[in-house]
Amino acid sequence: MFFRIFNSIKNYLLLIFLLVVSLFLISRDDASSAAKPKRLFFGAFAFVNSALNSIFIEPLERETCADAEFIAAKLNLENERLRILGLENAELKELLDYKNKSDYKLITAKIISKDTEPTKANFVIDKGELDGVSIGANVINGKGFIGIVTQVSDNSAVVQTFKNSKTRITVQDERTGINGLAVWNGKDLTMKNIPANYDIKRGDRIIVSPLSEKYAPYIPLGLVKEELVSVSGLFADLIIEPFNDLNTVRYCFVISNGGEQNEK
Amino acid sequence: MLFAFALFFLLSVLQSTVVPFISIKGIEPQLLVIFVVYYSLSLKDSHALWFGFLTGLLYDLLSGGVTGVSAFGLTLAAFITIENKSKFQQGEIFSYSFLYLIFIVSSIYALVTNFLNGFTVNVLYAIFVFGVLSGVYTTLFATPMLFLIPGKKLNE
Repeated sequence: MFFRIFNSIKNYLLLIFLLVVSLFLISRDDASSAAKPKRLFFGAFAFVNSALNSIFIEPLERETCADAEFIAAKLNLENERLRILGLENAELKELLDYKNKSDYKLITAKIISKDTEPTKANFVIDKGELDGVSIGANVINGKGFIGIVTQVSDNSAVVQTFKNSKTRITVQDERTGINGLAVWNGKDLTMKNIPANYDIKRGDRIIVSPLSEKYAPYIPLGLVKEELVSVSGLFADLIIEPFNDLNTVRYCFVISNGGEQNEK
Repeated sequence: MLFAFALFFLLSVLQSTVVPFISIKGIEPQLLVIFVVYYSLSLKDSHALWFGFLTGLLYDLLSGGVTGVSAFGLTLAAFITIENKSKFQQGEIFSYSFLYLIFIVSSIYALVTNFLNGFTVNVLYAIFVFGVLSGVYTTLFATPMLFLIPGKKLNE
């Protein structure tokens, strides 16, 4: 009798057990004990992906592609610096010591695999700890901000992009200096709960805020596309059109915190 | 089993390198869902559940995503598959029932994994875009199997 009942529900019991284990693993994902096996697995997988890329995909690409992207990224950073210099007064520039902050060392990296699901866009790049990439390093390209390094192995790293619902970026409207938090909601990049009476217009440039501790400041992110005012009329959510189309990105640059000189 | 592992590895590489190039607004075919549904139809029920779980867990570790999300989704995919085995009365795997199953399973998989990853958009939008459209795209990818591998039986 007991065995008959057990046999009829054993699949359900196993299902519940496995789902609970999965949920437990999700809850422990950020724990340091999980970092080592993850680093080992994705490092090995990235190595295989990188090898396949170099055999099948790289011969089809122009050699100069990475060089052109590198120059574009450098010019973009310089352009942003000059734009800020034009907008801010000399005293504020001195306070922010922006010149020092703009001496970024860029590490050229190739994207060897992508996870482009609507809520968790991650990249794996072909540069790792041995190349100077560290956890928390910002990743950009010629158009602007891409993401942040969240895992790193010897020769590869995982980049959590702005199209990941776990990414929270302190951003600023470049024209008015209004700060806010940009979050990917699965559909749009939104700047949430901005007072509706603030002077923000469609087409305003949104950049990473100098108030941000985690992200390199002044890196362009996108343009204000739409303003959605709440029912109460007090607050608004701003929809940001990102400069970067992550589906087409092939190369990126990791901003290393280590050096003063710009290197490739 | 060695063949299954090799196939899993190949599909994982394709999923993370080639598939992003054909994704439409983040909607992409779920190759591993097709893989798990196919093997779950051939395996014993309890083995199928373990197969889905381990496939998902391995993919989570390889892709650098949140560990447990694909494991959860593919375990669920295997369960839905074994619950619908009875629809395959003729014994043939690659029939229209297979496509129907792929559509249902991949829609639920995409919805559940995106939910676990934390979407905050409107629920109806999520069901339609993350669920239904992803299901349609995956089903389109599975359709050629009907013609390329005909006559495969459930117990083979």
